[in-house]
Amino acid sequence: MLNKKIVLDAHEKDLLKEIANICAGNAATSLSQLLSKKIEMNVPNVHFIPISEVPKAVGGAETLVVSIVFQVFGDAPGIILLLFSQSDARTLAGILNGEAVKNGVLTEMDQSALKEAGSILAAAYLNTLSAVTKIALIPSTPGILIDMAGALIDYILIELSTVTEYALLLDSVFIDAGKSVQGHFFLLPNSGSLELILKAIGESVNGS
Amino acid sequence: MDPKEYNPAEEIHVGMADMKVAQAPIVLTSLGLGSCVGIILYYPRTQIGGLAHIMLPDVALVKNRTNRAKFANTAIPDLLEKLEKMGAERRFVKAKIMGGAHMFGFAKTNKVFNVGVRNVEKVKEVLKDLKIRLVAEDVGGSYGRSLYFYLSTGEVRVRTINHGERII
Repeated sequence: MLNKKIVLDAHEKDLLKEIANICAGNAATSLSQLLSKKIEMNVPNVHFIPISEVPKAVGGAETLVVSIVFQVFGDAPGIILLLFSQSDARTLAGILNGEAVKNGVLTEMDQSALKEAGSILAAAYLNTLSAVTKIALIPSTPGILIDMAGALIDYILIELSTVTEYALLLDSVFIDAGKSVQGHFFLLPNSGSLELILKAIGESVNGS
Repeated sequence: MDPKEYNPAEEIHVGMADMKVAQAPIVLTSLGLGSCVGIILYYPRTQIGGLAHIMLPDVALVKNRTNRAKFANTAIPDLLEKLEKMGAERRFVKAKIMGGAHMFGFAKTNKVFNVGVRNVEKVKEVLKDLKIRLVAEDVGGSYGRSLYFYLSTGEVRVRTINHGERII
């Protein structure tokens, strides 16, 4: 597992993208029901990146990010991260709270709304992934962290004692009446979990 | 001089679980430290110094010990040795430490410990054992830090988000 490069062939990448879009579709349906308005979501791209490059993917180790963090329990434990830039987090909080977008820091109310939306997304993604892979995956309650991207990675690797080498990054876009929000959805499987998930995805396709 | 005007070629980045030594006018940097601790050792006479970015306190507590720069009690002696090989005399070497935050805000897991605090404690203990003077520190809190260690002066600029910026 250590230092092993994960390279997806075009077929596997298409497959993951397809699964990610089904996840996003289910998540959008849940959000739309909660808010009683149409929210669209799509996943334009998926990549596997080494965990040390997670900060780079969101603008660098010093970049301020708003992150919703979940631990994943079940047969393939790991971490789920939902990262937004501060301005995108504000826009999304505005959509959720039905308020105009404001400037300044995120209020308790905003943070709570983001956590709630994060929970819905995490549950929708994991349910879909569980259905495809037949692996039980259960999210914890959400935590929110607003700080440098590098400090967040410290937190995941050290304080949550996560043993992981790779992150699966799903670029996600939320659209509500022309307002679009860019989010980064990361799945960080513990070592072992990743192989389990990839294998299960492969089997589900070849078997069908 | 505005720090932004430094030629980027003069900055050397020290990643997580890594260490670097250099001489003035190089700037050693580590970005976005959370519960990690950045330790700088500086020998003013020849303006040489090093930066170690450790993740965990004690090498004895883990199985995978391949990366000595990851742990306080292996990284600091190694860093000192590198400086001594470059001609530094131990009794004039000064240390500064930064980081060791506790990034709460997440539902606590069952472990009632705080890696940031343990990292800082261990770093201080190791410095004491090596008889290196700790001249400044900027540790604790619950926020991330970025470090810029200017080898021409021995100063460290600590940047944070929403918690100010200072030079120690």
